[in-house]
Amino acid sequence: MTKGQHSFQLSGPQDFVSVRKALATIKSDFLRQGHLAEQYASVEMVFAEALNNIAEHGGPTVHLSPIKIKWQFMQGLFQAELEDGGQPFAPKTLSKRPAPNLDVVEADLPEGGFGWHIMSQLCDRLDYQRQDGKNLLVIALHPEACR
Amino acid sequence: MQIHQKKYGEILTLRVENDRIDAASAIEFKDQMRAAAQNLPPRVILDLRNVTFVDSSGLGAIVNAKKTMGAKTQFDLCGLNGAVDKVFKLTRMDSVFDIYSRLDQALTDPETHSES
Repeated sequence: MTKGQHSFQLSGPQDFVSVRKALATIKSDFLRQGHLAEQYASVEMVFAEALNNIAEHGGPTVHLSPIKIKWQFMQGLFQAELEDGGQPFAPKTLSKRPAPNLDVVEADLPEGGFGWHIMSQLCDRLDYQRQDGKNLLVIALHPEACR
Repeated sequence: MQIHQKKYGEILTLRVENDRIDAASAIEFKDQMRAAAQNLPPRVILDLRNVTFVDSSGLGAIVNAKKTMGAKTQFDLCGLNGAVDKVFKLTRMDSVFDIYSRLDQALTDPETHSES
């Protein structure tokens, strides 16, 4: 990714509040390029799940280096790379899992386990590599407008 | 997190005034729902018209609210915006809740009206 590429670094405390601020910054950048807010909706869902996953499960080393985000949106295809210095993703995170089972009594309804499912539903590509002690997540999607 | 409460007879409406229910606000949302769950009427409608973004943590918090209200209270949703509606559909949570486009439709649904 080089042509039309944008980048953003999330430094400092990598918690949920920082993730929210990062999403707002990326959205501003996205809109400044003339793209539609409706198109950003799917992108934001994917970024939010990916970044919150890093903030929640990255462990102590995640704060030692910034989360680096590169993205571009050309000809209807949104592509991004997210690099972080947290602990490796757990294998179960990456496995293709169905949506949590909802055919249960109300008291047993699931309150978690939706994040990776949302990402895999929205993305055409969702690849993870461990590279030089860093996590590298590569995503691609065709963001359809949410109306 | 601000939640505006209003009673319509036997129905309590809870309107979220913030634009996000996400990982950063999910705990506060759950706390406020727990506080609202005291002395519940038979039906509660969570009005999400102001909410433009819900992530998986926010979704879990809304499910938690439904469970907190208990089986004796009907807990419905209304006013789901595009991106919020999409999250419910992607996760099939739209099959778990009764969802109305607008509050007035939720309030005047004859099926629920006769039950309350």
